[in-house]
Order: sequence, then structure tokens, then C-alpha cells
Amino acid sequence: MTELEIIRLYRSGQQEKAFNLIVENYSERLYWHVRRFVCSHEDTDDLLQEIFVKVWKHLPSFRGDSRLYTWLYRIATNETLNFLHKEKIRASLKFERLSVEMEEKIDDDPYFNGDELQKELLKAIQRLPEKQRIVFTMRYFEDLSYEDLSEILDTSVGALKASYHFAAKKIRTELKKSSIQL
Amino acid sequence: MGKDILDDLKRNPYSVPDGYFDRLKGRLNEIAVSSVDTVPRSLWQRIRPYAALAACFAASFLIGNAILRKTAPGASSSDQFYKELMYSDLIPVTQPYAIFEMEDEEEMETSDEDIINFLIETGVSVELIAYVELLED
Repeated sequence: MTELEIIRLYRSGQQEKAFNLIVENYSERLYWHVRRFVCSHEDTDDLLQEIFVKVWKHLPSFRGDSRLYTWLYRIATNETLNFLHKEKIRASLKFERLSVEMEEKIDDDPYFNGDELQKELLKAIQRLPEKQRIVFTMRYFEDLSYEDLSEILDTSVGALKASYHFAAKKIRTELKKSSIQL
Repeated sequence: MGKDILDDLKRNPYSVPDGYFDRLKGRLNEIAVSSVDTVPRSLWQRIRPYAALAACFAASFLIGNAILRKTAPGASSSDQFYKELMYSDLIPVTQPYAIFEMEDEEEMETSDEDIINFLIETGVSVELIAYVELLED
């Protein structure tokens, strides 16, 4: 079923059915989207619940100005970034850095099946500045177009391209160092 | 041109517990069901926590205000209370003059009668006092 059909279904009064279709079509994609940012299955699971509560709550105000897909991504990204900001504050109260905590999470993750170089890639992403980290993760892993990213992140395509370019350059440098050591 | 190191790392390195997505979808679908079943809350039910908070603030303000009124020295209209305070130990002994500064000027004035009483108490004869009074007149 297409986005438009889901929206029509919702507006025809079958809200619950429309919401179930959104869950069916998008929950898995949004799970991976969040997981790549928070690096923990448990945190992703909790966040996804909150994201879909927000989706259900705000669906009546969805006007259709943007695509449903980008609207859902925007909610998921905002919730994820809010979560990470809270985590950053929590870490700073313990005189620690969030990037270090995230690297530890990657090391301790029981659901990580990648190789060492992939682990180094994920750690290098954590060390990027926030904007570059967001753009790189969404573009590199999820293959989102710059136009979609622009709509989701409310940033110009030019700024996104620049952020991705600098992020990729830093990551390549770090990975080359790591691959020499491995 | 060498191969880009990023080309081979795109595959998803994460996994999830078995059957996780089926359980997740079931759980997320419950969000709509539970909110449909929920009885709409009245206006009073929605504002009650805020009203309770406002009442707490108001109560704290009124109690604090009442305590200040009862305990603040300037706020009492009772002369007795003022005098008690004036001679109380609250005035530091390092500043004894502070006690006299608070007395009325009228009380500080010494009458002729006070002087005569003082002279009699210190052993000066009544005749001598009378003689001095005659000289002054």
C-alpha cells in the first residue's frame, strides 16, 4: 500500500488500520535508523516505542505537505537526537564524554556481528562532530538522497554535501590508520 | 586510483534477537488500541496537577508571609513587644549605647528632683542643698 493510500485510509476514519500499516511498513527501517545512532538494541527498542507514540499522537496534524516517509524520519531523528543530548548531559555530569561511552557500547554490544574494521568505522563515526555524524550515518548507511536529507534535517543540500565530504574524509583517514594497525 | 576503504563497510554489522521485529510490531500496534480505549479526560482532570502545584505555591506563600508578620520586629504594633525587644539580649554588649539611642529624648532629660534625690542618696546634707537652691534662685 502506498503512502497516499495510507493517508486516505486514515482520513476516512480507519485510523487504527492506517497506523498498523505505518508500523508494518516503517518500523523496521526506523529501527535501523535509530540503532545506528544510539548503538544499543535496548535503547533503540525504548526509543522506537516513544517515536511511534508521537507518530500516533501527531498523525491528525499531518497535512501531507511532506511525504509520510520523510515526516516519520524527521520524528525519529528528532527523538533520537533529543535522547543523545540527554545522554551527553548525563555523561558530562559524570565527567565523561558521550563519544567514549558510545565506543564502549559498541565494544560491549552482544548483537554486533561485524568485523574489527567495521567496529573501527562505527567508533570513528562517534568521534565526528554532531552534524557530520548525522549526515554521514544517514547518507552512508541508509543511502538517503541529499534532497530527502534536506527535507528531514531542514538543511540546504549544499551544507549537507559539505558535511558529508568532511565526515568521509576524516573517517577514511582514521580507518587507514586503524587498518595499518589491525 | 585506489579502492575506497568505505566501499566494503556498508553492510549492517548489527543484529537483533530472534523474532524481535514481529514482537515489536505487535507491541507498537498496541499504541493505537490503548489510546482508542482510553476514556477522554475532562478539562478538570487535565488541569488538576497544575492547579495542585499552584495551590502548593500559594499555601507556601501565605504560611511564609504569616510567619514573617509574627516574627518581624517592625511589623508589631505592640509597645510592650518593642520594649521587650529593646532590652533583650539581642542587642550586642559591644554596643551598649545602642540601648540608649533607642530611648525617647524625654526620658533622657534629668529633672531638678532627680538631682536632689541623687545628692541626698550620696550623703549631701539637706541644708546644703537648700542653700544652693536659694543661691540659684
